[in-house]
Amino acid sequence: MKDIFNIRRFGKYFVSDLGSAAANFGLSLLLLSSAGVIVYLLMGFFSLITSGTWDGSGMAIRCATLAISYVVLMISMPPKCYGHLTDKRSGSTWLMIPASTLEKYLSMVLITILVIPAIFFGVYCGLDAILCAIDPNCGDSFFTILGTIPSLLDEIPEIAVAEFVTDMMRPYSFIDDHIYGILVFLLGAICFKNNKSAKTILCLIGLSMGVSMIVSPVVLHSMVSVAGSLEEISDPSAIFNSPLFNNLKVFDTVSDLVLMTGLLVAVYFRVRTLKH
Amino acid sequence: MIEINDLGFSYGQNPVLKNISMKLEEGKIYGLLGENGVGKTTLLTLLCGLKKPQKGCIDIDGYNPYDRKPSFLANQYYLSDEVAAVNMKAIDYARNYGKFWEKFDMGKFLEIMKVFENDPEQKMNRMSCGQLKKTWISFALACNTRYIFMDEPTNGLDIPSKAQFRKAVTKYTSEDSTLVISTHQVRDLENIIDPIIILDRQDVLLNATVEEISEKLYFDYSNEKIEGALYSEMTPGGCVQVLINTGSEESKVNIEALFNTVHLHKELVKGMFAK
Repeated sequence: MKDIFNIRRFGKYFVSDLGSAAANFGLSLLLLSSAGVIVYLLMGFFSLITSGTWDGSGMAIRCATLAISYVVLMISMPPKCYGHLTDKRSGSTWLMIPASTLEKYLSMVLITILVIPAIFFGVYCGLDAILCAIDPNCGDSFFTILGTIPSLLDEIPEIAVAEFVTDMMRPYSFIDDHIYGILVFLLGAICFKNNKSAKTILCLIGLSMGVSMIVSPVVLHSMVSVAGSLEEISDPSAIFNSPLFNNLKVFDTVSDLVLMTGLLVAVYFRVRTLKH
Repeated sequence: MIEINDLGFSYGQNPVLKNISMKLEEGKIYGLLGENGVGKTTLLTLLCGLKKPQKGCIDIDGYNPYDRKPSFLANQYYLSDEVAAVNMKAIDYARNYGKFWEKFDMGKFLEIMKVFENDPEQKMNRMSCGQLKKTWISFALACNTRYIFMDEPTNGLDIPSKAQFRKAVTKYTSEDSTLVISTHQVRDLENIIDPIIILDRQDVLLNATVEEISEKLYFDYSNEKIEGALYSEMTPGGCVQVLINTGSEESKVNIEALFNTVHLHKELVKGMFAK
């Protein structure tokens, strides 16, 4: 049992792994977390030069910058932190560290899924809050917006056609996409020897095409069976209020869980069977 | 104790190791010699668990290396031919990862770094190839593990560093530690390796101590040509000839000459040293 998991050794390993992640991705993390401030300053200087007034980034640009920074983080962080595992020199050094596969795997998953994104969002939103406090033209900070989402969602059922749509907008629905995204790029980082992110994206595109070729006819067939004929599909209320969409919600949750479990297992087995 | 039984490994259709069996005892510094491509690195990576044997088995103190159990890994260190340029200062790496090896000695690490005239405060990814190698050698020896596997440790080292390496290995390796050093630079390690293992393509040609070798083979350094020598070579200082030791005479083993002799008379030497 001690050779499978030991809490003290895991603690030691986690701290060392964190140090290594900081050395490999610290600077990039700092840059990505400050992207909001950098864009704000750039836009402010631009407007100062062109119109003579300081006009930093507004809400739309701030949201876009956050989304782009997050996507860059998701794509670049796993290869930078753990891409070296496929390299003969660094990979063999990593494999020979006296910690169990489970400990190395858990530390890897925790750092990529939880620790680094938490630092990213914490620093990003913190800097954003400071920015919004200094410059009232920025609008509400992300912290304030996050707090207002539940009340906003209460109003949505009036205008939305189905519970399915409103659920997709709730903050927790973002968590499974986050875990899924990180795990996909982590698996790509420890499977491909080079061009890790590009190959992962290509694989994702290929898989998506394959899956949609199977799923689309099934969904279309179900829609036709609910709406009666293809012409009536243009009326969304019949479909959104049908049991089909309630089942889609279940299907979405189940498929996300299966996908995440599959990815977690795949990452573990890749780590377990790494050879150099 | 390391026991290798009927070990086999191939890269695709290309067999590298075939039916390899041998025993490596504790407290010795084994020199693993062989031509390019005979499987020295493969054998070392199999011993430390970086690869999975396709046939046969390896037993190291009751462990199967490929299981990579922490208690096994804590007792061994593998220094590969190509070492990693970590994005950390050498001292930070030692502090960060040394703690995983129970007997890791930071003082010893710094001492060996000093022997090598290496700066522990320097970032490893900014070191030259030789400096990096010396840092990893220092770390490997400071881990105080029971087994150390070194693949071409003197590659990339300058002339003074090779002497420093010999000094470090003899001074800082504990008595019960077993070192397996794979090398082509036999002259660099001539005085420290004992026993000597010579691998051939898919076979072990020799696994014997220097004492056993000198009991059975005589190394003649005179300038006279001797009839019936198994091997003879002109050297700048004279001549080295290898003969079968019939009169129990003592002589200094010349590893290069031994290697060539073994390759010229494979079956004869195998028969002579068969246990």
